[in-house]
Amino acid sequence: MKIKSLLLTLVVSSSIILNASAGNASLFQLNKEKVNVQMGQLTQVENYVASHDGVTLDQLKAENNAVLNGVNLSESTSTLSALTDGALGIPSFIWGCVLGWIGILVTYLVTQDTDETKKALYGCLIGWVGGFILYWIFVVLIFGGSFFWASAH
Amino acid sequence: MYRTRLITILFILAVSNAFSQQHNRVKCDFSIKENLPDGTSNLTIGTVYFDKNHRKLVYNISFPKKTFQVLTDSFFYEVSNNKLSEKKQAANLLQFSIFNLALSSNLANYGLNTNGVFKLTDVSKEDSLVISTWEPSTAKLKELTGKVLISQKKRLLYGLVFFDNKDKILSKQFFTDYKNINGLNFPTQIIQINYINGKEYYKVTTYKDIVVNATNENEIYNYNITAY
Repeated sequence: MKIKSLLLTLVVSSSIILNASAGNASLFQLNKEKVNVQMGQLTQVENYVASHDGVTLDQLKAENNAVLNGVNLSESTSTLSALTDGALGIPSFIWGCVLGWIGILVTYLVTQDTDETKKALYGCLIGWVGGFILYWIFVVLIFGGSFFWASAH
Repeated sequence: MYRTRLITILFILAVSNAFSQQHNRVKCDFSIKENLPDGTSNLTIGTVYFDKNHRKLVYNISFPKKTFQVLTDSFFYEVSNNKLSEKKQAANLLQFSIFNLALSSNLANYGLNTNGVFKLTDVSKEDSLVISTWEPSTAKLKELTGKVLISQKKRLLYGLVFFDNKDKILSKQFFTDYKNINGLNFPTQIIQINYINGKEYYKVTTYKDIVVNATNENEIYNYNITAY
């Protein structure tokens, strides 16, 4: 009886917790058909280019190629924007905080908060110390073998 | 006795370490299709190279025009007709490229778990998704930007939702059609939806013919930009 009550309590608690945080999954619904429709004309151009090796936009324009009908194709590229758009309105320096010293520097510059900077520095140091210890264990002790073979004699 | 056990444990660890996959390079053909708010569209096609050690992301572009683009930790360069046609600052963008995140095993959380700028505030499981909420870690950052939602499906990055500081959605990204190449899981399609003035603008990036840890084409992976 007690076990049943406990299980019931767990189930109810779990459902309450899940319901409390529910609702975000709908933000991740992707309508691929809609995307395909939006990209339809560009896909046609893409397929044409794929089947005509080396063709450029200037050449297509010069020959008035019908594949460009209905598409206002720009001569600029999307590669860098593919990266900067990663920021998506979020300042790029935030994204620069992902790794190492830059993160420490930016944390300091942005927050002007020495405590935050210290935390970033400690994180960086812990990573380095951990890496060094692992390197020492594997390379010096195992592959070098100096510790074990020396102590064996 | 203890020494034997220790040696055995360390040997097993060393062997597993030696056989674990280290991914340093990735190369693939790509296309980027994009609709822009000004009514124009972009189509970019080519091959992209990234070497984690050289710290260079090299785009060999064939369409709309033949050109090389190189992104380093500090600058973006463009080389057209064997001449440097553009150079501009692009500090810190390389770290956040999907190639660097994937090769550094930071893609699943989009690299947000490796810094103190965003902090994890909530994790929930909904349907097949594990959704984590990341919020700016300081009040100053909260003035600049909003939260980021990250969803994972089968432990792989599936979606990102970026909010502004007023909790309005700026953009979504979906990472789909993963392929496993020599132990590296890489999405072959990224769909981005930008929300600008109440309208949706799409960008679709497709990757194919992905090659991991190739040993040839060193001159492209380590593109000598100083020669221009």
